[in-house]
Amino acid sequence: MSRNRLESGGRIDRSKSLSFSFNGKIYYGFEGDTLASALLANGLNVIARSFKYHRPRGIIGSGVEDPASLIELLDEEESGNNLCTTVKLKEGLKAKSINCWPSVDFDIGASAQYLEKLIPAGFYYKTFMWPTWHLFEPFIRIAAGLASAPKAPPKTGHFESRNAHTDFLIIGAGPAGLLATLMAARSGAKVFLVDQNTEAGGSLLSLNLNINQKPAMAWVENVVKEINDMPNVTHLQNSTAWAYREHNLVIVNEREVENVSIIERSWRIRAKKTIIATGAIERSLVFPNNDRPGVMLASAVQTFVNRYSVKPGNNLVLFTNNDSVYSYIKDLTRAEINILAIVDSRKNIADSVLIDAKNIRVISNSIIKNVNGYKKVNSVVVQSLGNKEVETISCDLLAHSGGWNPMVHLHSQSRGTVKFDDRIASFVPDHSIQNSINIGACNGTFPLNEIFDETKSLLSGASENSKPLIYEGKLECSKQNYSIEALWSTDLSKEKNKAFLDIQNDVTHDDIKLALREGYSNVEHVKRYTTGGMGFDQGKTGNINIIGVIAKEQGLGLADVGTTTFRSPFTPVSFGSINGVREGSVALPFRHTPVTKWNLEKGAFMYEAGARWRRPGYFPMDGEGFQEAVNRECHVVRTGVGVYDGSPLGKFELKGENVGEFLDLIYTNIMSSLEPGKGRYGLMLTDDGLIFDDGVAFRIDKHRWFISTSSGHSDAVHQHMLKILAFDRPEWDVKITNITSQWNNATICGPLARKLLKKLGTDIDCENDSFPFMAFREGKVANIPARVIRVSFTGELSFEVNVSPRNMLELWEKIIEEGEEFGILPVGSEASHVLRVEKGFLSLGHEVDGTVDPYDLGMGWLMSKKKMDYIGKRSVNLRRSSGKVRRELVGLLPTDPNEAIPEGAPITPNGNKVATEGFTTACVWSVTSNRWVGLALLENGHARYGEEACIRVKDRIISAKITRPVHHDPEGKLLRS
Amino acid sequence: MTYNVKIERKLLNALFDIKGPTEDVKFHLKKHVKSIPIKPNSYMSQGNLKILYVGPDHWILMAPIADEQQLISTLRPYDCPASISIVLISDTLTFFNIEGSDAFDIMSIASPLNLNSDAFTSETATFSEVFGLRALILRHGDGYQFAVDRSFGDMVSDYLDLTLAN
Repeated sequence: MSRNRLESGGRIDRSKSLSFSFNGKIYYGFEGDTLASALLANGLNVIARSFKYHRPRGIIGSGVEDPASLIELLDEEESGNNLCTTVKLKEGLKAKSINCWPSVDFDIGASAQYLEKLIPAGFYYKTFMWPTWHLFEPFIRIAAGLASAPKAPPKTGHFESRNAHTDFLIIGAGPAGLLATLMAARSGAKVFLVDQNTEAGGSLLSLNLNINQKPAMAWVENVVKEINDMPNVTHLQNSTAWAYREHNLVIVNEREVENVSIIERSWRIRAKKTIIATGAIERSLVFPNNDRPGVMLASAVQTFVNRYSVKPGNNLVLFTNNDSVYSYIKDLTRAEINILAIVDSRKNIADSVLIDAKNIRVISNSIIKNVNGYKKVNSVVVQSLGNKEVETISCDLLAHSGGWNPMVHLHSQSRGTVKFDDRIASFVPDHSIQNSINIGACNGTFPLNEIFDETKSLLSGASENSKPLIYEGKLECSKQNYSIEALWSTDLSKEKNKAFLDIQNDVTHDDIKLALREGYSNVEHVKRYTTGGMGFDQGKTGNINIIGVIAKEQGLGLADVGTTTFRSPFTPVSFGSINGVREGSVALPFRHTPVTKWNLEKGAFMYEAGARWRRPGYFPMDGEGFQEAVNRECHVVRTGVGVYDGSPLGKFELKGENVGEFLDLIYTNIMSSLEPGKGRYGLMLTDDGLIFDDGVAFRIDKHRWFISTSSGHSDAVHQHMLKILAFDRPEWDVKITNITSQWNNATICGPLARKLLKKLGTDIDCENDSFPFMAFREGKVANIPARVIRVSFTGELSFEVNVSPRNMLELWEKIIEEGEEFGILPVGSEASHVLRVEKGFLSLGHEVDGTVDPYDLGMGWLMSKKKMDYIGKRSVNLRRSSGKVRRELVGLLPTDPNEAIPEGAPITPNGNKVATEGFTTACVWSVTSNRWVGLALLENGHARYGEEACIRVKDRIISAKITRPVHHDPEGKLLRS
Repeated sequence: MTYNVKIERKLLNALFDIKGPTEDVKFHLKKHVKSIPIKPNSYMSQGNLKILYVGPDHWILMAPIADEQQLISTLRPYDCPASISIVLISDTLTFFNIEGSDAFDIMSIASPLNLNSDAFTSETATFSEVFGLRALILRHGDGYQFAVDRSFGDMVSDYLDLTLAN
């Protein structure tokens, strides 16, 4: 038996001994223990070191409220920053302390306590500034920190994320939550019950109360059995509701899944009504050295005694400002804890309360003035608030209670409002914004009989189906007292020892006063300046005290100060749980064409190339580098024939009486006059007259049209068109069908493209006279039904052969096979980029960067003068009428033909370190020019052909001649050939 | 296997995207179906055919791929009346069938849609979301059928493999 373990009692299974290691040493606990209870049972006092000052810290709370005892789990369970009070003990569990070196007992970082003058609240705004903050930052980050993230994913198992829809979501399986579940479930409604503890019962797990003259846990067990037998109830234990989003969406992290291969499961639960029954958390009292190991929340001491059968100390002093600790006396005495005194800050304590303290010394109207001891409490100094006399009491445990804070976190996250309740000296829920109600202690109702009455009353009006929610049985409960006189801090004037308000972040009473002195008077500013209430505990035990101190210092009421925002997550959540199965190959979305597998087999270098398409960048041969492969592919397109998988291009079929007018509205040029079988290149503008997309439009027949967009903007163009039809022209008859995935295309390009097309076999007359540039034909290619389009992105003779995806691979392989005699090569995106730069064709994301209009790119000819209006026309004219200088597309020829210009490199007047006058949009090695050629957007560029541009790069200036932005076949004879 | 399900990736169905006024569509389809659904996000089965009402004046006709050519010849997507639009879209979607006692669990991992039987009935068909992608979802036997853009088919297969991983 461990040294602090009681002989009997508790909710642990003494027949199941579990071994575990902490900081490399083996210990033993029992099934039902948390790591915290097992450590306490083994007599460990110092569990962690504090965030900033590296002060020794022990266990303070017994659950999610604990602000101090973060540990790191190792090996199979590897994860950083776990509260040891919420880690369920398992056989072989390995854990260690964090933020200490070389050990938690002897931590070099503790020297930070002697540098406190250098690191007051907000020190990073005012110290360590010379010569530069960045000199000190790495050391400060190492010194103050949490555990690092695991370096590798879990060796076994995976995470999962699920969705659920329900009538009722009940958060918390304490007395209120269980009763609510019972009422909702009996009505036949679909119910989810989630609770963060390892077993249901909430406060009843720790309090020795009776319901109907029997132990309250017997009632809990009956309720749990009944609801677990109901098919309409999903009961998730060891599951924390950590975020409350809009549309009554609550995110729950389930830590113990029935399927052991699932490490954790995240639930996204959408309920018609959410019932919040999250209970209350005991808050700290603020006095000097209130963080020493051995100083604990009174409720935690009782929980460890009653639930885990662990005695955290032998000689106890209780410090309180409220009634709740008096009800613990019986349990603590039964555990043979010697209660030396109860220090009560109140002058008058009700006789009904004092009955419980018979034979105990009650020191009223007094406070704890100091705690002595470094790694363990050895005495406390008690001071009378009346005559100021002090007395030192030797003890090894100080349990304190500053009152109870309703857990309004989820209510607040749901955007519900809170109000200050003087009756309990804390904030309680006020108005709900979503369909939710608060019941029980989280609503500020503490006595058990009142909790049951309130639950029955509030639930009776909460039906989400036709059946009423009623509870007809009797619920007679133990009587409980609760009254409080708020004590936000003891008198700390002239006090040298630190009194902590936020133990997690080492925020002291002095820090808050400093923030106020420096003008940060708003509670939100105080929070940001001091970090009080931030971090993993989100101020569970300390926030209200911080608000109380601000109020006290400013002479305000707490309601006037208000609260900070309660943020999710309510407790730390692993990233894996949030991510679910989104890992490995699906960490990022990807799209394939039917040729993707072929590309991979041929050794293509693949990457994402817009709209999540995984495309081949280039096809390196043995020993070939990037540039050699790209040059080879470009050369074959310029001199022979290549084939490019253009399947990702956006494609839409439009039908209706008004399609012509519609296309005239969305493109800058006229499309309505097109004859069937003919097409035009066009630009789409945004409302503010900037280029949005480019593409082609073809008329299939009288009523049907086909448009092609860029791959990356396909979805955006689709939305753009639908939006216009829905809002701007709802009367127009235009029906749009997305056929991007119905038609894949193999683009055969190069001077030998026609020869190859003929060799493949086609019933389309592909001679230039009968099938000219910008024409569309339907027929068969290689005996496969096809739509063939003559457009070109490379500047060479090109045929886009569009076929159904089911036939695409067959077509592709035939093209490669038949093209062998012409030396055909597959062409990747990189070669395609080079070829279009040589031609000066625009590319979205390069030249079209969201700032240019058609005139800037020398494409003013596409701006129709005949049309009354089209999208963007007015904006373009308005902007250009100002006469302001524009950046215009130009070509660049580096003075040294072998010198590349980095894409994005700035151009400045004479290369001086002044404001830029443009930038390089692209620069490629041109196989036709045998040199580097580039494109740029340059101020007044069209008037500067022949001049020199100076491009600034990190260590030098590159000079280049400004040219027209077409480096190959400026007359376009080849693509029309 | 973590879940008791059978997952089948079914590459192709004959699919026709049909848009136009209800009466015109009904008249044009009269050879194939007696009626067309008019309740939003619902479908009707008639023989081998399913007709899904997926948006205002918007239906999808679904049939086994073997029937595609015959349907093309009768539906005449290339020269149907001017008031309606019929576009062959068989290749746009890749279908997945999820069947078995845990089909609901798999779908609850894949989709945020409310698939409880009171909300998602045996006649429901709707575009929603599967693994973050736009997807057509409908009931199929004792399970579900969903379809995503075919370019995402391999990704969804990977997702399902991860979901079923031990």
